[in-house]
Amino acid sequence: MSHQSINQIHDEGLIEHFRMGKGHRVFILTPSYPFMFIGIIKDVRADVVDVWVETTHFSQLENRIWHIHIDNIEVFYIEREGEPEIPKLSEDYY
Amino acid sequence: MSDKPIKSEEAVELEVRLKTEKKDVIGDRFAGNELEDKHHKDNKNEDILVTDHKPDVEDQENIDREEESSEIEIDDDLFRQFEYLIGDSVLVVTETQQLNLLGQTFRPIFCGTVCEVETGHITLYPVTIKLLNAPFHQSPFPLSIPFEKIAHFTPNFDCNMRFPLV
Repeated sequence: MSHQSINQIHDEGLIEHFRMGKGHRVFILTPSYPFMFIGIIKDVRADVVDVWVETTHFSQLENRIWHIHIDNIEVFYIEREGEPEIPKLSEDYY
Repeated sequence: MSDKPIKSEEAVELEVRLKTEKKDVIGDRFAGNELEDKHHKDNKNEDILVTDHKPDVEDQENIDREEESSEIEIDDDLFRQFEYLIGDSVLVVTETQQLNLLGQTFRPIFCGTVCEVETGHITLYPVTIKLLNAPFHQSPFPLSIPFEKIAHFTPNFDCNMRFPLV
C-alpha cells in the first residue's frame, strides 16, 4: 500500500472519475482506431469503461457497446450537470 | 536523518551490540524500511546504517512515520502545482504522435485555462485544439487530460500566440 507509485495513484484517480461518471455522456479521443467515441458510460470494470457509443467517425461502428481501456484514453470529457454539453453530431459542431 | 545526536565511539559500539541483539525483533521492518527510503541510504553501507538508525523501536516508528508523510508530499506535487495553476492558461502536449477528430489528424497540443484538477486528470476550459488548418479551434466543451498522458506542459502560456505546428 505504501509502495503504490505516483502513476498508480493517477491511474486509480482517473478510473474513479470514470466510475463517478456512470450514466453520463462522454467524449473520448484515443490514438488508436477509430480515434473518437461519443456515448454514455454504462459501467466501469477494472480499468475498462463500457460505453454505449452513439457517435464515432464511422456509422457502422455506432450504436453498440464498446469496452474502452482507460489507459488508452488520451483526452476526454465527461458531461456533468450545469456544465457545457457535448453537442450531438447532427448539430454539426466541427 | 541529519538531526541524529553525535555519539562517542564507545556509545556507538555499544549500540551496535544492542542492535545486533535486537535485530531479530525488528529485522524485517528494517529491511522493508531500507527499500522504502532509497534516497537516504543509497550511498551508505549496512554498517553505517546500523549506527545511523538507533535500535530503539520507538525511534524506528518515528522514522516510519516520517517516510510516510514525505511520500504523501511527493504524491501531491504535480497535483498541487496544477491546483496552483487553476485559472492560468497552460500549453499541454500529450504523449501520442497524433489524434484524429472527425477525419482530421492533428498533433495533441492543447492550450487552455486550467479549470479543474483531480487525482488523475486536469480539465481545461476554455481550450483550443491546435488543428493544422485551424490552430485556434476552440472546443465547444471542456477537455480533460489524464496526468499519465501529459508528456510536457508549460504554464502561463498565451494561447493566442502563433507558433509552428510541424
